[in-house]
Amino acid sequence: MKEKILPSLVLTIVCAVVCGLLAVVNSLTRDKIVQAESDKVQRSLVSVFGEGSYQPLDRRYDGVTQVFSGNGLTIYDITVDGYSKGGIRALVGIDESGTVSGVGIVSCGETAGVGTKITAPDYLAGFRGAADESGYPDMISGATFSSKGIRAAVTLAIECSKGGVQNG
Amino acid sequence: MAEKHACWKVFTKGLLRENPTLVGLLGMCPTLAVTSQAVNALGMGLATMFVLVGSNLVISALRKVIPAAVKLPCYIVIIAGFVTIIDFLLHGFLPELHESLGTFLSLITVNCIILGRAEMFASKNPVFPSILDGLGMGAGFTLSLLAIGSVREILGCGTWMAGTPFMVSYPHLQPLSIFTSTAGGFLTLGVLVAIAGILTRKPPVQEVGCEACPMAAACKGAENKEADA
Repeated sequence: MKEKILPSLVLTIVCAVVCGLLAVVNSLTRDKIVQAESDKVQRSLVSVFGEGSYQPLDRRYDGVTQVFSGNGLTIYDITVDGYSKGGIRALVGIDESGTVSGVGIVSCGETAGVGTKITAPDYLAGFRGAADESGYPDMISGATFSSKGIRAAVTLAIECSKGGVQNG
Repeated sequence: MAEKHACWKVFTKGLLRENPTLVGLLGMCPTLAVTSQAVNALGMGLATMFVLVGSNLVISALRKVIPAAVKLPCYIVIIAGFVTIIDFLLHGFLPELHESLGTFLSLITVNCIILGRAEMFASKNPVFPSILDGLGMGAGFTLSLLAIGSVREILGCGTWMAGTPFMVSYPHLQPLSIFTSTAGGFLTLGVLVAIAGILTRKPPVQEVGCEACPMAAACKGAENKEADA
């Protein structure tokens, strides 16, 4: 009887203790994690679109994480697939006339030295003033998937600003 | 004195002689995946070391309590617990590093180095040597990753430790982007394994017979040979 009950009992106790520990660590770090996430977005917003306060808007589109407004711009926080799935998280600012005023990268999980070329400020500046695909900068050779990814993000933001995307 | 010497040996065997990456060839997935930059390699190595020391400590402390039937599930729960703790801590305090390690952080759970040390060492030895073993193996893993990461980053990107205050850049180097891709990882790993092999070379085994073979009990080779003849 003992050898039937003991293993399950020990495993149950081990699981319970580990769960308890995780609950403690989670309660200690949860606020920090939420803070770190929103800090990261705010930092990117300020670095791309200049100082100012950016307020999240209560608008939802398919494929758009969050919409902010500030400095006369509407800014779309968009995660798209590059070479890796969900590898590019970009901020695309659209001004009142519907043209792109700036593109910034929040995080880029693309191959270092290859796909990360799309994060170069010079390259991203090429999107400024674009109202459709004809205004985009050229694809980067060797980084086709990452270039397509960032183009898709910009296109999605333009579509959203035109009201062409369903509210999700 | 002899005991002190033995402890020191437990620690140092992970550095080169039984280096988990370069000699044991364990944990190849994170080794190749996160070493395109030195700082990621260092972060991954230290995170793994934390989990390794923690799990070795707990598993060796519980080695007489855990019944053999549920040994593996218990180890995995303990290891996964430590991995989740380091995941939370990095996400909260070092979000940049957390971002760049990505999925590989949670995959430390199934890193065979950790389960291997739990099974081969911590479940048979007291707490103190197990901690030393975890430190040694973790340090060996970290150093190997850092070496691979440094070679790949210097040759592939022309920088070292980019994104930290210790960043060094080599502007005269033309970046060879193959080193940032997986193929470059394999090339670097192969060269380092060869170097580790030279450094740890032992005299070659003269003759291998069934008597000396550890697999003899499970092997039918000798019988088959007789049947053929």
